[in-house]
Amino acid sequence: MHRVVITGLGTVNALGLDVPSYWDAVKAGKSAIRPIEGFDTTPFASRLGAEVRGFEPSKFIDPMKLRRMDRLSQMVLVSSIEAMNDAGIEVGIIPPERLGIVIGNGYGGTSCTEEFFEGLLLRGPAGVNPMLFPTTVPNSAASLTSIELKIKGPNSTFCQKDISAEEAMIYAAGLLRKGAADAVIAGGGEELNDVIYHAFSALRVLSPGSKGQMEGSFPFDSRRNGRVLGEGAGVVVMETLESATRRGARVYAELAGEAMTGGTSGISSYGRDIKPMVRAMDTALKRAGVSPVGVGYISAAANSTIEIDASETKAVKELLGDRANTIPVSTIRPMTGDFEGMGGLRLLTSVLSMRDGYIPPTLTYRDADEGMDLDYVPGAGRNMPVDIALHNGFANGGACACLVLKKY
Amino acid sequence: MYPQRKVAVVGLGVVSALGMTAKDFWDGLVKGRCGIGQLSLFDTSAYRTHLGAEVRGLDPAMHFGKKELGRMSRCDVLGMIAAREAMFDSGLDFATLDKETVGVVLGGGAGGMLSGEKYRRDLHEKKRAPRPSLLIPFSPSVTTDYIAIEFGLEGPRATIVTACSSSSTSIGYAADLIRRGDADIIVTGGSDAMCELTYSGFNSLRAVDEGPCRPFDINRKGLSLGEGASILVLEEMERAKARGARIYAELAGYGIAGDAYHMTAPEANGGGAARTIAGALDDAGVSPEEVDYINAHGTATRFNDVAETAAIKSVFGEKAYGIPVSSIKSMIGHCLGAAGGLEAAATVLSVYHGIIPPTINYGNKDPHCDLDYTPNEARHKDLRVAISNSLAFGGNNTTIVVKKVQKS
Repeated sequence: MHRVVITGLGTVNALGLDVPSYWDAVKAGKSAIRPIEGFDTTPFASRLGAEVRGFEPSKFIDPMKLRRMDRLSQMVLVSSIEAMNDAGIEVGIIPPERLGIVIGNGYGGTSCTEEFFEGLLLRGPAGVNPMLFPTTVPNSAASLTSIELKIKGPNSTFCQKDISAEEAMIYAAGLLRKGAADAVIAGGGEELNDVIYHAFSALRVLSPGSKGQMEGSFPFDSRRNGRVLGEGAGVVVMETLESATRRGARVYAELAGEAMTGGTSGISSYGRDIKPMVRAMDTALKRAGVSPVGVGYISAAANSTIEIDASETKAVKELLGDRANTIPVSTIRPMTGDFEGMGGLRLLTSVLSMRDGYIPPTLTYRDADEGMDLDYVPGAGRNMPVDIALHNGFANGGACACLVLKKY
Repeated sequence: MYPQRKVAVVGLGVVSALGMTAKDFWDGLVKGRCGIGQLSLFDTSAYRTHLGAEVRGLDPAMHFGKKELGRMSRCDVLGMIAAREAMFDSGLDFATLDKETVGVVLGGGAGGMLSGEKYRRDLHEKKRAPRPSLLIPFSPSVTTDYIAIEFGLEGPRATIVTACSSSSTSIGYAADLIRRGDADIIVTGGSDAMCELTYSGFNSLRAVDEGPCRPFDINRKGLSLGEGASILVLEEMERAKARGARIYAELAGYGIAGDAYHMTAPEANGGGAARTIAGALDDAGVSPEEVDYINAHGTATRFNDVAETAAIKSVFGEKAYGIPVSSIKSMIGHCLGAAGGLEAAATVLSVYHGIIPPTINYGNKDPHCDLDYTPNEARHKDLRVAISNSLAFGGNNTTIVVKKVQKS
C-alpha cells in the first residue's frame, strides 16, 4: 500500500480568490458573510450569505469554453489549476493516465440546471438550451476540469450532502493507496444561487433573520439557529509518497488515515446517536497509527445547527475523555460561509495550519451552550504548532467521514 | 491489489421496465422482451419522441406508508424496493448481523429530480404553494441514507454521481471497501427515476431514437431512456462461504479512467474506454483470454457504439471477434444513474446461469460495429469471466469484472 501526501492546494472562495489571499484573510480574522447581493432575498426569512465576488474565470479559462461551464465547474477548474501549479505538476511530469480527479459537491451546477429547466417551463421541449444540458449533471465540474487539464486517469464525483468532498478525498486516497494513480486532484465545491437558497430556506435549514431571531453563523454557540450558506471550491493535490519523492516535490503533509461510517437517526437528521461519529474519528486515527491523545487540532464539522454542533461536542468528549477540553476545536464556517462540498477547502486550511502553526478561530463564538465546553478557539486564531490534525465530516442523513493529517 | 480478501455477490434486487423483481428482470432479458413503450410519467406530446422504459405497475402504497411517501421520491421508492428484495435474497440474518461492518454505497443520477420538477412547476404556475418536502430527496444521497436507515446499517456510506457510470463505480468502490477490510458487507448498486429534465435534455441533443433503441445496428438513431433500480449485496468471500450463502459470482475488480475529451462525445478510437477495460482486468488479476462475455454500455448512439467497439478490439485484439457482446439497453433502456447497477446484475446472472442475454432490435450490421452482439436471441455458454462497461457523459468510464464461482 502506498502512502499518500499532499503536494498542492487551490481554492476560490468568498474570503479569497486563491490560497494566499484566502489564508491572509483567515489570519486577519475576516468574515465574508454579509447581505446577499447576487439575488433578491426578500422572499426568504434569511438574507445573509458568503458570496464569491470579483471572480474572473476568464483570466484562466478561454471565454469560448466558459460559456459552456457552470459556475461550480469554473471555480473547481480554477482551484485545480492553482493546486496543480502549486504542486509543480506541469503537463508531462506525471503521465495523464496516472493523474486523477475526484470532486464532491452536493448539487452540481444548480444555476445552469435551473436555467435549463426554466427553458422547458416557459417554452416547452423546443425551448431548452442543449448546451446547458451537460452542466446539469453533478459530475460536470470534475469532467470539465479533466478535459481542460488533460487528466486521463480515474475521474469521479461524490454527492453526500455536507461530506461530499470528504468522501471524494477518501475515495481519492484509496485509489492512490492501491496504486491506481500517482496523483489525484481531490476536493469539492458548491455554488450559491437563488435555487439553493430557496430550497434550503423552504426546508428551514438556514439561520433565520425574522421574528426577532439573530441571523448568523454561530457554531457551538448558544445563539446558533441554522446555517449561513457560502460558496466556492477547494482542492488538494494528493500524491503517492513515491511519486512526490521521485519528482522532488514539496510535501505539505501526509494524509495518514481515513474512515467512513453511517448513523441512522433520520433522513433529515445530522445524528443524535454519536456512536458512528466517534467510530469514524477513532477508526481514522487508528488507521493513521495515532492515538486520540496525539491529536493537536480538530477541524470541526459543526455548522451552526442545533443538532450537529451538540452531537459533535459529545462525540469529541467521548473520543478524548479527560483531555477533550485541552484540544482546540474550530470551524472556518463563520468566515467562509457553509457549503456542501467545502471539505476540500477545510482540509487545505488544516494543511496551512500545520505548515504555519496557526489555528483558525471559530470567529463568532461567544456564548457557551449547556454541556458544550470544549476549546472552540473563540474569536481569534492561535499560534501553536500542529503535528496531527483530525478533520471531521458529519452529514445530514447520517453519513460520517473523518480524515487524519500528519506532519511530514 | 488486495489478494487477501475476495468479494462475493450474495443478493440481488431489481426493479426495471421488465418487472418488479430480479426474477422478472432476468426472465425478460433471457426471453428478449422489450420494456420500452409509451411514457406515462409526464406528457410527451410536445416532444419528437414518446417512448421510454418506464417501471409500470408500481404501486408505492403497497410498499410504504402515506407519511413516508410524502417525503420519498420515485428514485427512493425504486431503490428501497430493490434493496428489500436484495437483502432478503442475501439470506443474511439481521438479528445477529454486526451492523457496523455493513455499508451502503450507491450510484445516483437525477435522484429526486421528478419531485423537484413538480415543486418548480407548482412554483411557476402559482396555482398552489409548493410542498417543501418535495425538495428533501433532491440530493442523490437520500436514497443511500434511506436504505441505511431502513436496515440500521452503520458501516461506510457513500453516493457516487457520474451520470451513466455512477452505479458501476459504486459497485467497484464497494468491492474495494470489502477487499481492503473497511467493511464485510456492502449494499450497493443504484437507483434512478425518469424525469423530464433528462428526457428533454437527451432530446435536445438529438440523442433519442423515435423507436425502441437499436444498439450496434447500422440504422440506430440514439438511445431510449429508462429507469429502475438494481441493488447488489456484496459480502467478503470467506464469510459468505462460511455461512453457506448462495454465491452468484465473484466481483473480482474494476477499472476507472477518464477520456478527458468531450462532455457528451466519447473519444472516437475508444481510447479512454480501452484503458478502463485494461485497468479493470489488471485490478481483477484476469487475463483478456479469460473473458467470455462483454456486457456493453451499448447506448445505441452513433458514436458510443463505434467507440466502444473500437475499445473492445484494442484490448482483445483478434480475439474480440470471438467474444459475445450484448447491450441490455435494447430491453430496459438507458437507466443512467442505475444503468451500471442493472447491467452488473445482468452480468452476474449471466455468469451464474451460463446464459448471455441478447441485444434485441438488432437487424443490420454496421461495418464499424462488426463484433458478435448476440443478436435477438439469448445464448447458453459457460462463462468464466464477464465484464460490464459503463461509459458516461464527461468521459467517466468504469468497467467491472465478474468471475464465476464454482458451486461447492
